[in-house]
Amino acid sequence: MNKTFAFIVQLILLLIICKLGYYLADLLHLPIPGNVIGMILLFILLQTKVLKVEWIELTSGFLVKHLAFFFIPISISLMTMGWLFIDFGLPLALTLGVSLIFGFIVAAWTVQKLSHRGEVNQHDSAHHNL
Amino acid sequence: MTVLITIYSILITILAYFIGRKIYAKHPSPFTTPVFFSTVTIILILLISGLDFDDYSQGKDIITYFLGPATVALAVPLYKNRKIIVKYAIPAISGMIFGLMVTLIIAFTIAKALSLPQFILQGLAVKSITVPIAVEITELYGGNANISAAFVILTGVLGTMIAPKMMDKLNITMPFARGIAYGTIAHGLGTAQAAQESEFTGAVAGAAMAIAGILISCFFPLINHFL
Repeated sequence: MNKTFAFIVQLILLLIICKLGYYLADLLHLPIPGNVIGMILLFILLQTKVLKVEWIELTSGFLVKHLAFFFIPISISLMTMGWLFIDFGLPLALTLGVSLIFGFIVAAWTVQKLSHRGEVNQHDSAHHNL
Repeated sequence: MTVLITIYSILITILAYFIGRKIYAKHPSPFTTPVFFSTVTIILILLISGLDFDDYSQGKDIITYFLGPATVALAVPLYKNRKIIVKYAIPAISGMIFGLMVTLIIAFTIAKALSLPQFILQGLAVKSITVPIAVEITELYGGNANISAAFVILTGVLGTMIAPKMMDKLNITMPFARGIAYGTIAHGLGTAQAAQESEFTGAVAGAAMAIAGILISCFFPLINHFL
């Protein structure tokens, strides 16, 4: 199958699941965003073998790989928030920086200490690569 | 004219991103992380071209439209790594819950001690989760979505700038542990950084980001209570 065609079909499939997620969140008044419902929906479809992972692998792999790209325009919006940094720059930097550093250390340390070291190593991970 | 500016906006974004990736691959440093590099470059290009954020916003809307399907696509790494995630579910979930609790408690404590205003506290509550989820939660609870997005991005950019070297120094070498921390604390930007370390780390981070998003979505009424 033509790769570009497959990419577009898979993208449309992801868009439909996403829309369905928003629809369900709205219909059931869920306190969870529609795109997360869409993600859970896709996981269920994969787990129940309704969808094969090969059917959406190409586009989803591309989107996940370049996820950072989709955040760039949002970070450009920081250019309109000069006032925020002028008014609260230093306290904000302190709050975000310190909380981030400790969050990282606690999350990573907890996982590393609780899993038996070396069990989840490169050998094991080789079977689970994308 | 508007159409041309929109195309121009999208093109400079794509170009800045790919150049950023290339530079980061050759010279990894906090200041060459693709999003930081691209953001600074694009803002400069816009200023030099005599354009402002309003001109850029149409291009922005088109690119960010795809954050929806991109978030849905995270189900794929989640599915592919479900066995290893289930096997290490207890360490992973503990790390995520402790990590999120610590980062939120510290952020709220400092923000309150420095008497930062309420709208900043609301933004801080969602700072660790991915933008599309953070924006939705904020809108659901009547906060300022722009502020939330700004904090999420700042956290992500700071995370990718500080975390890799910091974890090396602290001897956190296990790819699974690094992936969980990247995804939990620095969401999509952390996941992108993790994917640069190894595909496996990236997949774990993607799963952690998704689960962190779900955790914060579910517990937000409780978190909101403390604001």
